[in-house]
Amino acid sequence: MSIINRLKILSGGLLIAFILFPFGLDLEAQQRSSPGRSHGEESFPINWKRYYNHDELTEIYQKLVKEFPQLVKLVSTGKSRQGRDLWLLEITNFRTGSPESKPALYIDGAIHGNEVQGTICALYTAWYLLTRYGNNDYVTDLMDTRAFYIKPAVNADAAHAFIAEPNTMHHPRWNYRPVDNDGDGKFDEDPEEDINGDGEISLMRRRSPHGRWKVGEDPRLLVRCGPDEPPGGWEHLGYEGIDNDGDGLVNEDIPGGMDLARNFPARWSISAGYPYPLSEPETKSTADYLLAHKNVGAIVHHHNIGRLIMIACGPYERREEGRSPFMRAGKYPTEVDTKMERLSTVQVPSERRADWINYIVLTRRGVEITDYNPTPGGGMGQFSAWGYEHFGAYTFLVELWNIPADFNEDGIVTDHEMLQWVDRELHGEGWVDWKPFKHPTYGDIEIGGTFAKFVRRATPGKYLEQLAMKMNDWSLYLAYNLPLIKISKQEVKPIALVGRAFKGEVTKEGSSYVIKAEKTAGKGLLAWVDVEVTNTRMLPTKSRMANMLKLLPQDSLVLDGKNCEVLGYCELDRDLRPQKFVKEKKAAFDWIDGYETKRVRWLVRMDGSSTLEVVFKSIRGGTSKRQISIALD
Amino acid sequence: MKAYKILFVCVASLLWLGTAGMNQAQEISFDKYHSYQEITAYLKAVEAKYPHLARLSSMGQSYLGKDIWVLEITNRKIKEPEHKPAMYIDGGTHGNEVTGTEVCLHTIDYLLNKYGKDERITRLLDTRTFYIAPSVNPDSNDLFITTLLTSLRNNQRPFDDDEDGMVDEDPAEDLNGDGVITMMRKRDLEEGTMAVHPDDPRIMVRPNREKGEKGVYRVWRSEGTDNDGDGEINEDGKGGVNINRNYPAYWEPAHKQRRGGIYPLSEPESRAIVEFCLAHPNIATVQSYHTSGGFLYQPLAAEKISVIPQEDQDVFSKIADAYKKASGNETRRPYIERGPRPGPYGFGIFIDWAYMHFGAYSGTTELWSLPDKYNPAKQKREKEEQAVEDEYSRYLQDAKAWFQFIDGEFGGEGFVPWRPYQHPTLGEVEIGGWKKFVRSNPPPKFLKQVIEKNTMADIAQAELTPHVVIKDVKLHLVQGGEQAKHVSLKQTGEILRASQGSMLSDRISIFEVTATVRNEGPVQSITKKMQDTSLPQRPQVSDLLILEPGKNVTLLAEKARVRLGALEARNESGDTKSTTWLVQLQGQEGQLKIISSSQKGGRDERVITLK
Repeated sequence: MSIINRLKILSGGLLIAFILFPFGLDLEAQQRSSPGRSHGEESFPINWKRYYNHDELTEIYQKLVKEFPQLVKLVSTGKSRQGRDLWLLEITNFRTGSPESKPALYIDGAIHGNEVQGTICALYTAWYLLTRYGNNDYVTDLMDTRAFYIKPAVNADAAHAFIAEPNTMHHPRWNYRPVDNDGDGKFDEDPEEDINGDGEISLMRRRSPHGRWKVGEDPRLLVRCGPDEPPGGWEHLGYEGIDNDGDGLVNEDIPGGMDLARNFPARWSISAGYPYPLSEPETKSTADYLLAHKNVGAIVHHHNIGRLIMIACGPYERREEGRSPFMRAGKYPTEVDTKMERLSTVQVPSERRADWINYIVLTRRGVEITDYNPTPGGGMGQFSAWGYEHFGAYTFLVELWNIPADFNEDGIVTDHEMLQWVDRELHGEGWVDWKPFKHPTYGDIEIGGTFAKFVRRATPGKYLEQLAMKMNDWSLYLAYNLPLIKISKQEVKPIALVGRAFKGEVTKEGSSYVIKAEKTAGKGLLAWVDVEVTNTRMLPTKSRMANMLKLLPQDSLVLDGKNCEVLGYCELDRDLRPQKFVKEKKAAFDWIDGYETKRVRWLVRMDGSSTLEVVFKSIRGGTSKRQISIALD
Repeated sequence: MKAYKILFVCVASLLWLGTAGMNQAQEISFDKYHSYQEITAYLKAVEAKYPHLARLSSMGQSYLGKDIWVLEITNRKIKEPEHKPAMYIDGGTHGNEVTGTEVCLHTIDYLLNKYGKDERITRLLDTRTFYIAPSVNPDSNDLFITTLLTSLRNNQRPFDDDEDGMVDEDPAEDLNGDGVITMMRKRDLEEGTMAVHPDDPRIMVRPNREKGEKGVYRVWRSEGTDNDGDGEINEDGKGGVNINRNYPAYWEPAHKQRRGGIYPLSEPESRAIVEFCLAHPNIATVQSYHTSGGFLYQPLAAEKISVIPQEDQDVFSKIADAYKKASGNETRRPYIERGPRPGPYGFGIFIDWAYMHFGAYSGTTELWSLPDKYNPAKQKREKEEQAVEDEYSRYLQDAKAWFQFIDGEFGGEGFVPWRPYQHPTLGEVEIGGWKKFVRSNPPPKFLKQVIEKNTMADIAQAELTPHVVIKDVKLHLVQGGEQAKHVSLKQTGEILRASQGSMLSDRISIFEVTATVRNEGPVQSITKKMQDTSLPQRPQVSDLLILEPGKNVTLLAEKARVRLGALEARNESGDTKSTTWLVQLQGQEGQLKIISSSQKGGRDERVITLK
């Protein structure tokens, strides 16, 4: 690394460090003093223990672009309902080719505004790739040969509002399509509010002799009375707020919206969400972007919560229990085996079976990394269903996070257990205590009694980095396994000097051939040119679903060159037996499977020395080229 | 005052001048088909001539940027157009099916000319609104009218028909320069599949293979060359996406249905129509014109009729009856329930969307068929006694029908006779075939009779809409008295004692207000299907009765907005619904307003003065 480059990084790092952290960091000094050894990440520190709202995210994206101009582009895919830019990061090494020319992974988050961990996971992968480029061979190789499209906040408005403003853990979830929830002709006029100004929207309760709620075992909790119990002295009044429109009802028309994760055309019906699929700018921009970037072969779609990896495998049936291809007899199943066992009864139609096998392999690594439960998924109007069933990419919906507080292991995390966990691990910080308040409609009430916004569905800040690191590991694994096509072998076999049998000598120097033959004016050389292309990674250049959809053209292998005429080609089988002869320059394949090799033999007539070029082109498999020079003496 | 007078004179004279200029442009004749330019000029002219009845707007732009016009027709002085039940009519969804455009123009002409002269039309425009969009696929419609091109069913988004990576690269051409794109045939005993009709050398028929006959001609369905040198002729013409497969109801992607678009409403034309409908929820009934066949298609196209509740099927039957009466033609269901290949007709079709997702009764009329006189199907029915011919001779008989029509009516004009031509790649061929306005669109001579019948069918369909009005508002004084603000209460043991102070106070009266609404239309106010459909995050559609308290009036009991559900069609008993509110009047006089609001049945208001 030259001194100038080092200075560049140093100054860039200093600039960023200065902005994000009030104190500067000396990269060199840190590398020297870092026993864990920095791999570049310290040149662009981001605090991974917190969430960022839209404005802060925008600032981070812009700084990333400034710092890594050769590696990332910031694209606005459209404007949200409230006019925010729907940002997307295009990440690859632009010097080795445009993102469109490479197989790509698409990652997004926060399609539900309250599911903000996805934003952090998506941003983390962007940051990890950018900062480690040049410092780590695995990442460098990925960046050279793959592209990453990262859209951290699909539902930008709601994700911003969720972070920036007091909210419950449930809202805002939808986008800001105006909806008249109570049918009074007015839109979004009675939202929930933080009326006591403590920064949280929590519950309201009122003392009442007829109330069917009582103080629980833990006095902080309000518990519903059993059917055979007398009134417990408290009334439950719902979430914090006032009757803004004076209709006698509190919080009956909260803002929004459309459930964006039900707004995609796959398996959509009117009961998924009025009025029609892709009616919202947030969803339409996502679909339009992907349809303009069909090189995306796999999708990671982040949600919360539930610790699930949902495999969008299309319609399937459940086979009877009992057979398990995943467990080997005589061996104790590992925890991963037990989790994967749940997929053994899933039966997808045979034309998509190959996709399912790939899904299982990819999922297994995800389960190993995250310890989440795998399950088939993808329902009505969901993005994940669309990603696979209408777009043909391997699509995973990840339900991130769940409070690890099932202490009695009965499968249910009760509020009581939650509270224990908050006491133990967050030292009580995640609980909002009851406080008295004078309510304009309800009179003397108490407000509180909830877990704070960033505790239950959202991951508490201090665990965020752990979560993002694990998802990142898996995302990189997925990207690694996208197809990588190499033209693995080429060979020229002279047949004849046109008009008579070939007499002469062929020598090979590197990829060049020198053919010494008797010169005959105006006549050329007739030869076979054999080429092998191999997919050197696990995933095929096209999923079976993508092939059924006819969304993509066929993969092609073309031989062409100056001073020559390509007369046609035949495919060779694995024992190099020629198949049917086709009078085309272009050999076309529906797909090339993982680790599969295609062998093609062209018949070529060369009128003198020439340079032949073999080009493999595939939307989802990338592009690969090789030249063959032939000097005819 | 003087200034007003001058202004009035100015405006009046301007209007007069304006209409004088427009009068000519507004005249329209129905012995020809109209180009986009003519349609636009006509619509602007009628808007200027009938400013109180007609209002022109653009639903959006087509793929190539043409405005998709929609003309609103109603008497706006009586009520806002959005407050009346409405009918939406469009034409030209498929680019080459331009007869519907002419029906739309004729209906516009008829409604505007008859208003104030014909009692039925006057009543209709007083109580109902029409939204008429004559050309909803204007790019292809206009190309069909103004160029020689024939296959223009879809919109003009470039499309790779033959999946070779290139778009629209091999269209048909008028090779022999006779001004018509027809067909090509070549004598070929090897690969020929078609033969010549024994009675008429113009007609290409398939040979009678049972008798060992063989094909002698290869036939290309259109005239042209192999522009892209792929060995096929005219396999990738202009456009596009079939916009009538691009609607969200039952939409399927390309592997199940090609040309339906990349996703529902991906096309500007279909999206503009849907956005227009959603912005005009008062549209209660829909007619979308296509050609040809001479019948009315009623939903559904993608699913069995059993999905439609009986109540709605009854309404569809009423519409069918009205159509039969006006046009003399039959109705059909596109979904095939029985037979060798039962199943959906198509996915993502407009009328399915309009009924299933939008809650409007909908239909598509396939205009134009062979006149009865020449129609072998109708002829045979009349002579049913006739000996049963074998299938092939019946086929030969049927193949002659359209030729008999043009021979009988136009002396053979309409079919370009086969003429030899030296084709660049095929060699010696013959070019000939049907002209444009014969089979899929009526010849101009027959245009008027087709469109007149269908205008009457439109009018009948518009009458088959709900019409919800306030029938009456009754007031009942419950109690009057002095306001209790000067009343003091004292409790003595178990007894409360009220005593009045001596100061003067306001008079308080408590009234019961009972409003009754009635559906005067012949169909229910909300389709049964919509009543049964759950639309998440959106309140169920319901007719409403609303009380708005005015001066000195307070609402005491019952919600201000009462949900009534649906109102039944006009009948002996169940078509009314009422609501009673308790209101308080303070003082001597006050006002309140009763509003009846029905999404598809219209809006009605009454202002009530209390004394």
